Amino acid sequence: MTPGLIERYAGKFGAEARTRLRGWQEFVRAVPAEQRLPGNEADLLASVNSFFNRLRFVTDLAHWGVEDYWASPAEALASNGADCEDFTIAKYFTLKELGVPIQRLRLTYVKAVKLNQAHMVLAYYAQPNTMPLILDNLINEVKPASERPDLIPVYSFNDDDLLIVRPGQRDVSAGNATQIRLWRDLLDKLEKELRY
Amino acid sequence: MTLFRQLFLGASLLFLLVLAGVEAIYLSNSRLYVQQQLESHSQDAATSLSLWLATIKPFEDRALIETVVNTAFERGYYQSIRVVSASGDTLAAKQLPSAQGGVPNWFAQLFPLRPPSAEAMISSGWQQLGRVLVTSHPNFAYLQLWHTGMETLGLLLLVYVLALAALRAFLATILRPLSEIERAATAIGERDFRTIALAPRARELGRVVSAMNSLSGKVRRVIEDESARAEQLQREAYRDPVTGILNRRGLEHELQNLFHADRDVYSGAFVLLELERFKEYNSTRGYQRADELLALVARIAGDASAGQAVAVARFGGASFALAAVNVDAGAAGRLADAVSCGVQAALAEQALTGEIEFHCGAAHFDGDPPPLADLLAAVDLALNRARGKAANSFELIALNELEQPGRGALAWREHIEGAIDAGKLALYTQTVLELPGRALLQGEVFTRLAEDGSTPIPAAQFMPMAARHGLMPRLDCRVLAMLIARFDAGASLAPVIAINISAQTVADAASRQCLIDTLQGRRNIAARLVFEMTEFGVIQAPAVSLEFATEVRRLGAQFAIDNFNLHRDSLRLLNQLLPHYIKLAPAYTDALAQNQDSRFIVSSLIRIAQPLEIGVIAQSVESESSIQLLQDMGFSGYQGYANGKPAPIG
Repeated sequence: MTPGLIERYAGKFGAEARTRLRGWQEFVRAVPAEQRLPGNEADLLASVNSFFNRLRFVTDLAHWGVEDYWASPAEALASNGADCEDFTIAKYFTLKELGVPIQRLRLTYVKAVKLNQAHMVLAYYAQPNTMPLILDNLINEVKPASERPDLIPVYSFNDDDLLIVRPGQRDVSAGNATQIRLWRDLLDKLEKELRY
Repeated sequence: MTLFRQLFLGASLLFLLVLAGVEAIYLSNSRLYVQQQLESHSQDAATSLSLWLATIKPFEDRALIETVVNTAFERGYYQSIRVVSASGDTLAAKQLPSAQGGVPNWFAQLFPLRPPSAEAMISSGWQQLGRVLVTSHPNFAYLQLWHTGMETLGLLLLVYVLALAALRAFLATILRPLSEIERAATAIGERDFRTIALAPRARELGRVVSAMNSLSGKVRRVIEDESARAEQLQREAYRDPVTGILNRRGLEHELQNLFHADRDVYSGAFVLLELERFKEYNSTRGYQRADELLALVARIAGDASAGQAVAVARFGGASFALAAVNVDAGAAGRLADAVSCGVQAALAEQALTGEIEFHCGAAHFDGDPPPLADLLAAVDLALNRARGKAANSFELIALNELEQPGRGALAWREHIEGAIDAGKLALYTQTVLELPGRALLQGEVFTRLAEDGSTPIPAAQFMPMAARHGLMPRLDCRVLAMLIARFDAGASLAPVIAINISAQTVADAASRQCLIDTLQGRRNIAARLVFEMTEFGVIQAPAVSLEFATEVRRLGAQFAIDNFNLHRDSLRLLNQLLPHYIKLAPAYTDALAQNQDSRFIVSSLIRIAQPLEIGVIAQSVESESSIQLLQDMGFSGYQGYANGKPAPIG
């Protein structure tokens, strides 16, 4: 995250955005080295989950004025508003930044039984065929999926899935069309943000 | 290459390029589309397989997995299907070689399709069971690409052909005026100054057409105006205003020129009819009645000689003359008789018998034309004799000119034939010089009979005899052959040689062919030859003369007219035959120095000949002052004793 970006979002969303964005920077820097080591993910996941769950929940329609909008982590923080996808995305990229391998993280579409609506959470697989841990904005605790009967998984994906890797080539060409568009736009946005 | 072809080739090449471009773009886009189809196909297959495989319990049942995979694989759209467990073990794999059938290799190389692979996660609930990897077989895509490519190609070719047809029709319409213009340009180049009838719509072509028409029209008008002028001058100089027929000067002029055409004239007659007591008639009846009478007699003379080549003239105040060539004594007598009877009848009709009397005298010559003075003296004698006889009678005197004493007509014939067969012909040339500059223009060939032990006999003396006996064709052929032999032997000759051909030779198809055959294949010699015919000869047979001219030109030689006299028909001759040059009758050369009328007439002639690119050459030039006058008037060359007499060919 560059200073230019901070200033830009500060101008767009207000002076407090600066505080929040700087706070995120601090948070990432302040993660103790032990948490990054394999085996200690539980703590890392918990702190990341808590950090982002402080954000205010607001729907895309109310916040951005469109039906479906995937905000970048910086956008979500700066604008102090996120819906379930934004939460999940923010946590995904932060964990990726902190060195967690992508194949362990899957953004998962679920049905939230209690709310009876569509929802998205981040699932962490320590091993490919083990029960994952769920990072959710509905509750603060990071629990294994077996302990979350209120979530029914539908479909999951991550960077790897949507990018077909061939030797020497990377094309975004598979997956659901809507996902691709939104994901691609998101990636473009992230790239643009790096250049500020 | 014609303009049509250039444009057509250029445009069709352009079309071809465009269509090739369209085909290439189409194929390229199709390839992209097909590639995307393949990729999404792979992904769809992977996704649906993953959903299907997710229902297998337990997941480690390889046999079951394989069954599912086989089912999908048998459809034949896939190159490989692989199922991998969460821990990375391959649970099932099927492969198909990536052969390509039905599509030529070069096409596959030109439009490569990457067989795409797709992955889908097999998951049940939260659990990740494994992954399925699907690679589509590109063959179907290739086939589809190939077929649509071919179809499009076929369609484009059809469009191309139709476009070419349309282009051809369009160009033909637009360029039609151009072929007309080309035709006119060629015609003008061949000195046929015609105008183009059409008005093309294209602005540039329209301007070219009007410019050409304007120029062509101007030249033609100049020629027409000059022709009219020349005719007018001639009429004034050589025609009698009262009767409209030739006057004395005109007839003498005509005769001098006729008698010079020794190849074509071998006998002739002169008839003189004189009205007695005409002066009294004039004073009694008045000049108007007198003029009417003169006109009547002129008309009768013309009627009596209708159909024959006779010149009719008013020779004096009340004398009328008729001159004919190539007629025997009998025919001459008949002519005189016809005229006399005619006049007699007319006088009776007018009830003038007794008031007007006439006498008619005729002279006939055979062979070499005599000097005009001698002929007129003979006619006078005849006239006097007629006066001694009854009124309204005629008398005929025959002049037999025998240069060589002791030779009759038959003896001449044998002598000449013998000379032709034995080749006892001596060839002489006389130089013709160019004006201005006096460079050597050509040498004219004269033929003389070689005589043992004495000087050769000049053409003027034996030609009329040869013509009379119909020997001209053989003579002309022999002379040409001898001339060519001289060429081959390396004799030093002028760069251009003029050779005279008689009308008899040209009229006879066999001898024409003989001349053509002699020249056939000798293009280098033909290019140095000019064939001259007398104007009299050409007028006798204009159609065969034109044929002859065309034939010699085809062989590379040139055609010219000798002994040119300015008749009403002469100018038409010029336009039709377009000779390389004309040689004026010798009488003109003296006349030029002596009277202005002749100068006017000849100037007109030169002005007519110039745009037609016909040279005008003077003959019998004997003095330096003549040469200067000729140069000032615009002659192209001259010939005569001023250059020297004819010399034998070395």
